[in-house]
Amino acid sequence: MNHSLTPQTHPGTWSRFANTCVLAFHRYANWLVSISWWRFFGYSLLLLITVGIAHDLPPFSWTYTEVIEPKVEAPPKPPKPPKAPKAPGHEGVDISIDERGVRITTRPITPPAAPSVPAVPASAPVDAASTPSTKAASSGVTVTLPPNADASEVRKAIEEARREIETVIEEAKQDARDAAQEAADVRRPQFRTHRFIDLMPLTLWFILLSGIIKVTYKGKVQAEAKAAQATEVAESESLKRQVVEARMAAMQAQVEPHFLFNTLASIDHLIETDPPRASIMQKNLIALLRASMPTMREANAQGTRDLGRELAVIRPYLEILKVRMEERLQTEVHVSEGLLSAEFPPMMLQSLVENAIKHGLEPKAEGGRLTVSAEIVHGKLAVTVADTGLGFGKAATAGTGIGLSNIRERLALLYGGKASLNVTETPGGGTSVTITVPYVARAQTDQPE
Amino acid sequence: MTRALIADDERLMREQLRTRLSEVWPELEIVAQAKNGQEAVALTEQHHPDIVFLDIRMPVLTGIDAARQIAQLPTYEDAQGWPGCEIVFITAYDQYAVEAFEQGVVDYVLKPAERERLQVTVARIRQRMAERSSHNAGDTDDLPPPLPTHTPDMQQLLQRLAGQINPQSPGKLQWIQATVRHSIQMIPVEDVLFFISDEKYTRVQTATVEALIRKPIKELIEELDMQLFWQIHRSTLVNVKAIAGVSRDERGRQLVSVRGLTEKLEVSRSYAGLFKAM
Repeated sequence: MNHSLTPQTHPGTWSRFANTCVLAFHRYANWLVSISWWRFFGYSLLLLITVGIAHDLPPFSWTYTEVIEPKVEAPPKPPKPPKAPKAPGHEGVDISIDERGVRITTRPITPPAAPSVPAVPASAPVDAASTPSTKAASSGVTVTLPPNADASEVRKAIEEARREIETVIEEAKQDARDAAQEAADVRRPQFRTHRFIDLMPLTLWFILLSGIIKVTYKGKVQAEAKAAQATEVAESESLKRQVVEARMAAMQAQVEPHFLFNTLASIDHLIETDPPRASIMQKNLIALLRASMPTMREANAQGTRDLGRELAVIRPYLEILKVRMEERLQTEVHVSEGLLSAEFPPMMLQSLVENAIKHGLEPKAEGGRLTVSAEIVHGKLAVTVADTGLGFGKAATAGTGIGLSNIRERLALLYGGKASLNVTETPGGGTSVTITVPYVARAQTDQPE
Repeated sequence: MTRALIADDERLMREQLRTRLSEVWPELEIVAQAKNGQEAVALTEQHHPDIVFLDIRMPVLTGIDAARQIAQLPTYEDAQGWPGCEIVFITAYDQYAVEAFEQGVVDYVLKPAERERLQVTVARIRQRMAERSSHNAGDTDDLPPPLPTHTPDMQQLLQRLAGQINPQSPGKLQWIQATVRHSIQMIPVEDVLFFISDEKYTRVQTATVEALIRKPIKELIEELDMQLFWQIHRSTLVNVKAIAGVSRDERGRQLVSVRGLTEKLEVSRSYAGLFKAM
């Protein structure tokens, strides 16, 4: 898993990447929690085996070679050369022997003390000894003798001394060579091979981390699952509500343009020929429109209205149609006063009445009778719309059945299985549609829900 | 005297149109009023009006279907010289129909009938009627334009509107199932050269086969794709692609010759104006 990686990228990509990481982490954690410990164990084992195999396959088997440089902070110190070899070539020593005794003084090498004397130490001295001033320039040691010193003795002594000095120098040189050799030995490079990606420790850490996540993440997951479930329930509820409202809106639109324009045309005519009737018809139209309009707002608060309210919508509708259809339409409404307060879902009755007119009575040349009735049957409210029209599905204008299936769906949403819609053909050739809903008087439901 | 018929299922609407017409066209005589499409067809056949006002939404038969049936009524020699009638549709709302009518194939009136709009409609109808009567008075070589109901354009329009007003109407006929020597043959509609009614039956003629079916021309007009067929007679539908030419006989009647056949089909007076040199 890559949730521990934090590459440096620019901000937009970064936040997206971070989100992906978090998501991936949660998925992984959820999965960890969901598996049993046995499975987790198996999973770990499998991981190890896989990694073990992958270890020997490219790209995991690719290696690189590291060159180990001597440690920079502590390079091996060459051994200090003895003091002695430092003397030759660097500074000279003057030894003067005179009547005051032996005096030894150091002097800078430049200019060389005895430029005239060649640097051949052993051969020159015999001739040089004849001179009052004896010089052993090559070794940087100058012995100055008093002119009156015994030459042979001195020469011997000097010769001796010089030999000693040369031996010391030789030794010092040897030491220096040894030291250099030693230093060179230490500087020779050493090689170590590495894998580019070493999986094993990474895998072990990963398994350990997964185990910790598995233990700690569980509680969180459970809480989240509960929250998600609650959200889901809320969503489905609001979805249901939306469905109902959408249907309602669709039905609202069914205050049909045909109906509206024909009614307005009729009113227009009546204004000229019979103004009082025109006025009544217009008032009915206003009542119908007003009763239809606020349905949405009320439906938002409650899924039902009372039967009285529903009848108040269909009455002006039927009155208008009676003016237009004249003798072709007779209407009867049989609903007792006591049932007006019964709860009834909105727009259904209007839908049924419109169907009866549109598909039953209007297409029939001689028209017929429309009856709306309500009664209590086995403790349920049964509202029936019956017509003596053409009969169900007989009219050329027969609908697609969308109106009725809408009512069925809405009933199911509002009452579950406790409500029903029944369509029957009446013996005279008409159609009878009954909606049955649980009987609830409106007064009881006015209490807060 | 021009005579008219009004068909609307609502009495108030009939009255209103009648009142408006009397204002706009006082000489117009309303000879009958119908309460539905079926009545409208029957009363038209009975009264032979010059103009029929048809509400689109009517019981039993819609105004569109009534118009199609009226277009198939007998004319001229078969109907005491009645040449057929102009049709004006009435509607309160049918938007698609109004759009179609705006194309000018047919006249229409919007409810509530406005005087100004009605005047335009009336003027158009009167002009057409005047044109036709002048042609009739003149020589027979110059044929009068046919009534709108007798044109293929109108038949196609009405077929389309009928489909829109009643989506459940059957789709267009693709095959003719005909009896040929005791067996049923499936004849593709495009292969039919013409249909001609032959007393009880309708004769179906293709390049190779001649068959009889029971379906009358009146029904075929409703079910066939009227872009493929032209009506040239109350009893004859001819495949437009099969028409080779039109000639005249010694009596001045137009005769359609069909590709691949020697038989010639008579064009009735109602449809005579269809064939004119460009």
